[in-house]
Amino acid sequence: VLIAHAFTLGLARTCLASLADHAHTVQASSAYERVLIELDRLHGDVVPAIDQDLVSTDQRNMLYVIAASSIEDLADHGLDDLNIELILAMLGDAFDQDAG
Amino acid sequence: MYGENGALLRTALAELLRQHRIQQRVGRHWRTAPDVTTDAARAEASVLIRAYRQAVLVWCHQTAAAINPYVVSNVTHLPPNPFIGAERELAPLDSLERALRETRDASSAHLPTLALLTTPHELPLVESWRQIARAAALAEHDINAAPGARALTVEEALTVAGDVASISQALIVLDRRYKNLPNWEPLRKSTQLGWAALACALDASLGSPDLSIDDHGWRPRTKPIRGPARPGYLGVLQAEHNMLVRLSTRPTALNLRLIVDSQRLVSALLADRAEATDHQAAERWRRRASTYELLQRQLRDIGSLVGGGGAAAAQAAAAVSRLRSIPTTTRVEPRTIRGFATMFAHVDDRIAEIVENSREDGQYFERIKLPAVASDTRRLVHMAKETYVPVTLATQTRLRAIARHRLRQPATSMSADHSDGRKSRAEIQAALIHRPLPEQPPRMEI
Repeated sequence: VLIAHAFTLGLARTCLASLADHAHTVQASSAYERVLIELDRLHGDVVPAIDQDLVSTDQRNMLYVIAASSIEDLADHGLDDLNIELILAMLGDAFDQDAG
Repeated sequence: MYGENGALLRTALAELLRQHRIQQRVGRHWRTAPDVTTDAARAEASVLIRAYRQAVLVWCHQTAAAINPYVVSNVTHLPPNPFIGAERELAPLDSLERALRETRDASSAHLPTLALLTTPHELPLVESWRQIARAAALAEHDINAAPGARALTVEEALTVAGDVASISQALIVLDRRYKNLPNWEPLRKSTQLGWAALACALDASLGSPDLSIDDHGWRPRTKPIRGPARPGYLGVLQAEHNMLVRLSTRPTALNLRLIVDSQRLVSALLADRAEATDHQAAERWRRRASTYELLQRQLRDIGSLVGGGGAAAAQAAAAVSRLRSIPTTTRVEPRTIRGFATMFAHVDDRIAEIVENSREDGQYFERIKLPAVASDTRRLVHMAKETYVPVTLATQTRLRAIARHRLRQPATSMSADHSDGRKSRAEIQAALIHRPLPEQPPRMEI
């Protein structure tokens, strides 16, 4: 994993963790958590730690946008497009669950 | 388990100790009534009883030999200088073991065959002896040096020594009572055995017994519940049980996170449904959900490269999906709540064990943060920031604290309840010293 890849991945992980921590329901929190686990699984569990210094906001919408864009950026680092779409779909479902 | 088999042994022996007039019990009534059995049948019963007694003697001797290395006698005198090893004195258990060995070797009775152990007898007296011999045979792999069995503590070993001593005393009392049976062979050196048993019982009674020995021993292997999913909440319980069985192998960090997530969801969903039936259980499960939430946060930065647990994670997912498919209006019965409470206690114990041992095993590792670039050094080339991490890994410490203080259940219901063991031990002591049972209050009948 190159440093740019690790940075993008770390950003996505941090946003997902924040979203899970601030979710309104247990189900939504669990849904975010599963997105995070899926992301880790795709990287063979070799991922950087969550670093709250990477993200300076705790607004839900902002976190969602940063997470989604970071996951999209992972395509530039060799992640399969289909896997990225699946993760984005999971993230969208979790966000809808949280909003609902 | 030793608790079950030991209690069976003691209860049956106490029952036999309360029985007098043995000739009548094997069918001979002298002149008061016609004999029920023939002389040959009584002689056969006597041989059978001796065979069953031999099984108990063998168990007593083997158990005494097995626990002897763990026993430190309460009357041992330690040397004043702690750097000089204590010479092993002849402890009461040594004498009892030797006396049991001599008595066993001197007896001409054969051990009962499997057919004798499993075939019921028509005479209740012989049948009681058969039950005792069965219990002795079953108890054999509870204490005796089974491969992989955990070591006993001194208190536990002394408790077993006390049990062996009281059973030996019971055998001597019964031996004297049965002396008029045809073909009966009295125990050899029974006086020596009696004194040794008495000394051992006194030695054991000087300390407080540790009844956790009753949880020791062989127990049947837990197997997954196969077949289609059971309807309703039973299906969720089935999946939880199967998950627990599959958790016998160490899961990877990812699978552990999936399992922890499922436990959090199951607890939270069940708490809402159980609110109407049992408010306290619902509160407990909400607390459990928050515990798993904390654990989940800590586990995000834990990774692993080896391990299994795929089947356990699948069962965990099945538990959540089955619970979601049950209509929220379906009532949770009190019995089901108890089932879930028991199952959750076991699951929590196992997960706490996995988390606590993770550090020693070195299977899980902690992720590191990306190095930040130090941009305030006013140099041409920005270097990575140096960070200093304390030796004690904070995440590991927090994980262990959650496992130790929030997941581990205080020893309450199942493991600490040794009422059967207490009762049977009290019964055999009461029967040995010939104390009558408390009389029932007279009933007024009109």
